[in-house]
Amino acid sequence: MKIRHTLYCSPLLLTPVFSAQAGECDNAAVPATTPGSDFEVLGDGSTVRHEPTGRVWARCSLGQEWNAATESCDGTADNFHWRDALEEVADINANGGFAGHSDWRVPNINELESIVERCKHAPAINEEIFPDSSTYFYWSSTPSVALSNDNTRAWQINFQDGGVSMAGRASDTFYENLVRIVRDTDGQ
Amino acid sequence: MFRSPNLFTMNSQVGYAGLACLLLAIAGCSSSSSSSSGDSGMLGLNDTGVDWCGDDDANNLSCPVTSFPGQDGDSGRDAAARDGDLDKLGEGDAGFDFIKLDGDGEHLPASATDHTCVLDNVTGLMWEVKQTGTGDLRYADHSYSWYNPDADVNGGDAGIEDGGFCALSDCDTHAFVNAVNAAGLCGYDDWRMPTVSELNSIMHRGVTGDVAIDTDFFPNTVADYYWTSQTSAQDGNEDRAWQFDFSIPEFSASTAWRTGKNQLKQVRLVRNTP
Repeated sequence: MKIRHTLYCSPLLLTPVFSAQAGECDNAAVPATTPGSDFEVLGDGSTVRHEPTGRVWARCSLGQEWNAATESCDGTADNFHWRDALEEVADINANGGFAGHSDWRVPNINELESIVERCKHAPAINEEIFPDSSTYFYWSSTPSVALSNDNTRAWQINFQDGGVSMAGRASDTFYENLVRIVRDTDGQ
Repeated sequence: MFRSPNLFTMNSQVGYAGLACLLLAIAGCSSSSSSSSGDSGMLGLNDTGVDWCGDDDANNLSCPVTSFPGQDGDSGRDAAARDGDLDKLGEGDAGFDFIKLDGDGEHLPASATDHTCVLDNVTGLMWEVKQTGTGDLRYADHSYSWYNPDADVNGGDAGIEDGGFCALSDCDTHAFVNAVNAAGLCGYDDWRMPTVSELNSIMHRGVTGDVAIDTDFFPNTVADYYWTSQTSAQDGNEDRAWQFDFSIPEFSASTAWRTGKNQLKQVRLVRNTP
């Protein structure tokens, strides 16, 4: 059985998917969840389409700027309270949009989880696709539920390891996270 | 009745070959454009179950909420279902679209109460439904240690054999998968451990109750942790794997985090459909 699939795979060994060290797994015996072949780079390179989900992602975090010459993200990512993150993206859409579109969103928790690279650690993301990415927490747009009626939290992902957890969403908390914006595409 | 007694007759050959590539740990192995993401085989992304909106301190508000624009409940499958604009093949709460299956894998009406498996029409994944009898192979409260002898995918640490408390199999994840495949659950023998993304896909984050899942389709879900197939990628943490929590927390919690492979957790198996 293995011989059959070795034959299937071996011609492709000559054309590595990952062109940079940044996309390789930290542990080669943990299956990759977001191989570079799952992404199509769009336009000026500032966005990518994730084929398995049909979502388009900004390659830089909010606050950073895409540098097409170096294929990297310049500047420092901004931290936002949950509400400010939602309003910041609404402002982007209302003021000319980004990468030719005005329907960007803070990702819901399932969308955000779909770009976690579980064969990598610190950051747990494919850095060839998402360069200069942070190992800190990123917001989802999904508010959370707790039995104590503590409805003051929202779901987040720690991109140091890819853990999914909650953080305070009220504007008077100290929880200020990073944001990577997403949009839908037709056909998914 | 086995519908797919031979893996090579399955229609998911592309996905299987892709998995084999990963098993061989070849970083340069490309997946076909029709293949799906990484180790997972999901056809599409489920929504979260949150079909309401929130503000600073309240849930279950009507969408949209002024000054909290573009949040989860404003768009997606859950919002479409709420607004009566979502077509489903089956049924399910919010944007979920499930079909109940009997022990032979035949479709049952959504009103059935004694189903064995569930087909998710959005992700294309088929799920095991846990049982209530303590002596059953698939009893809901059985616990298992994490074990996978395949050095190409176990992160370099096989884990612990037979460490849990269960019936009719050794009480580790590898033995349980083998036992369920030998039994031909719902007519199939290609059941496997799920990834974080796959368990996450059936979490229902919109409900309050014991567990964050559509309990009509997934009864006997315990408010506890379920093992995933995935080992921690952090150097020196190969003895840990990802677990996934379906309980609704008292205050605040994590749903996906890493714990020792010797820990005893629940298991819910999954398989791909063509």
